[in-house]
Amino acid sequence: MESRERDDKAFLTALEAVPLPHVDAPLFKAQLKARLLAEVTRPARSARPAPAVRSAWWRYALVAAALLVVLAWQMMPAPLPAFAYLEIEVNPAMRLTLNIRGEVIGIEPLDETARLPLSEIVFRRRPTAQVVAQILERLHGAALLDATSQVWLVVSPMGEARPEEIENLLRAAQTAVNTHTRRLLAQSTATHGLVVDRERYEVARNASLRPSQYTRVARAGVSASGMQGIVTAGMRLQAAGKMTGNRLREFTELIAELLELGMPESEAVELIEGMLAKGLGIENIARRLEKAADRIEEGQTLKEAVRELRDSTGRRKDQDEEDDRDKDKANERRPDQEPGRERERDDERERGDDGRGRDDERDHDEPESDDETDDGGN
Amino acid sequence: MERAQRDPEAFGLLYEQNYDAIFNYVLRRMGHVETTQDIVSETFFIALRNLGKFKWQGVPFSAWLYRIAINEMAGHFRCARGRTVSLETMQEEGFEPPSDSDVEREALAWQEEIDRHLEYHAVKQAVDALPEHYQEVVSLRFYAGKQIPSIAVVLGKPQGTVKSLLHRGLEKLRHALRQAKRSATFGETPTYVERGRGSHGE
Repeated sequence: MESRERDDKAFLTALEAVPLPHVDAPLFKAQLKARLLAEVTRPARSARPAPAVRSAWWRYALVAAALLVVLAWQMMPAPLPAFAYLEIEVNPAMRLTLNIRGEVIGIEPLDETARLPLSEIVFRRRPTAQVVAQILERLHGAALLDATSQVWLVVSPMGEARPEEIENLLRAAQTAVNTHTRRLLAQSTATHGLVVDRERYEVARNASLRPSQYTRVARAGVSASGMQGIVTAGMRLQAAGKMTGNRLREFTELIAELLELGMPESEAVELIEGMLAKGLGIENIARRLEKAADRIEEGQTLKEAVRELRDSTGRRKDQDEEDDRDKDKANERRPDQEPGRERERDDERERGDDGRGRDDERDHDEPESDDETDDGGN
Repeated sequence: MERAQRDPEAFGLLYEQNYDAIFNYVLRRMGHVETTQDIVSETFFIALRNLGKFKWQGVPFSAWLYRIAINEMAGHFRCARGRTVSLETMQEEGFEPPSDSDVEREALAWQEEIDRHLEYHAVKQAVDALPEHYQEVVSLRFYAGKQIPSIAVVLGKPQGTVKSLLHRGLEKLRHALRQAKRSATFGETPTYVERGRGSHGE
């Protein structure tokens, strides 16, 4: 191997020693240079298109195309931001997010029942009326919408919006509901629409109030701070164990009922809070308020009706204390019969109401414990 | 490199840097001035037209020129495809190229000079008789004075392959020259073996 390399090297050395011709040929060199430079300055005269020039052309074309794409992209209308919420409650309830054109850009169920009907809705950038029509069709198909249904529509602005713009959105939604319920049910359903300012809407949302609930409160003229006060009172009662479960919605409805009867906001909150604090259940209070409303309709003044409510609650308190004493005695005698005694005590509690309500309540009242565990269908 | 496509000054610089090496390599390989002129012309015209592609090939510009020249020589390409600009046009543009007759006279003079290199002609004859792939390697080594790494770049082959080709090529060349010596074409002892130095060098 080494000897082979040595031979090669020796042979190459010998070859390298051979004098080689070396030519300058300056005239030819100058002539060729002139031709080449002429080609450089006049590429268009080339017999065949120079590939290098062609590739440069393609590069420019590509850059131009890329610029066009970027420009076109920039000129494309950007998706419009969220402008307002539209909540629809037909039991179930759902929330639509709208842009300024009234197109739907988001949709979400507000309860479990709404989840399925909404799952197949095509909504992206569709007009509100079109999406509302789809929703009503699905609800009707799922037997969640009939002639007795009430439709609550609440529109709330998300940012700066002129009142007329929000009103227009609500009007469009109401028209759509009326049109499509007539088509589906051969008659329009009762439709309630309301515009709620952003602040009040946020408070209501935080309390998980349904559109119908805060519509009633809002219609009664409760301010955002007032609504916050109601929610705070409800939460206080929950924390103190006076209101079990998430009954904020029902609590708010009770307040709304009193407000509708004409009672001032703070007084309504104080009355309901007091009744709950004395151990009355939500359903029981609701029935009492219903009766009070009936009495007002029959000619009793609000003041008298409220006094009766308070008195009945007071008597209830006295009755409770008496019951507690009986209970203690009974426990001492027959501790094993406590459940039966408890039922008896409940009956006595109900009988302890004023004489006017006794007969009516006998037909409708349910045990108090049911009030607290039943979610009221909400 | 891209500028050289449109800028005469830039291309002129590239030409001046590479002309001598390419011209003499082709001349030694071809042994004929006119053929050399054709091939060198075509080499530079092809290079000019493909300057845009060059940057993607990842080899030195001079190696690229050698590769073009080798391809042209392989086909003994004589057609002056690139000569699209007439002398009249060049003169209009301010160029004063030498006349064809002057260039022809120059070529004749240089042809005589080449013909005087008898030893070179003897070796060239033997190199020309080699198979083409050996010719390429041996001629780059012998005529252009290239070392193995440079030859590998020009031919686009691995250095090991070039080394092996060069070894076998030289062996065949030596054998051919021995045969030539036996036939006593040029004296008893070939002078190229005894001379001290050549005109090579990279």
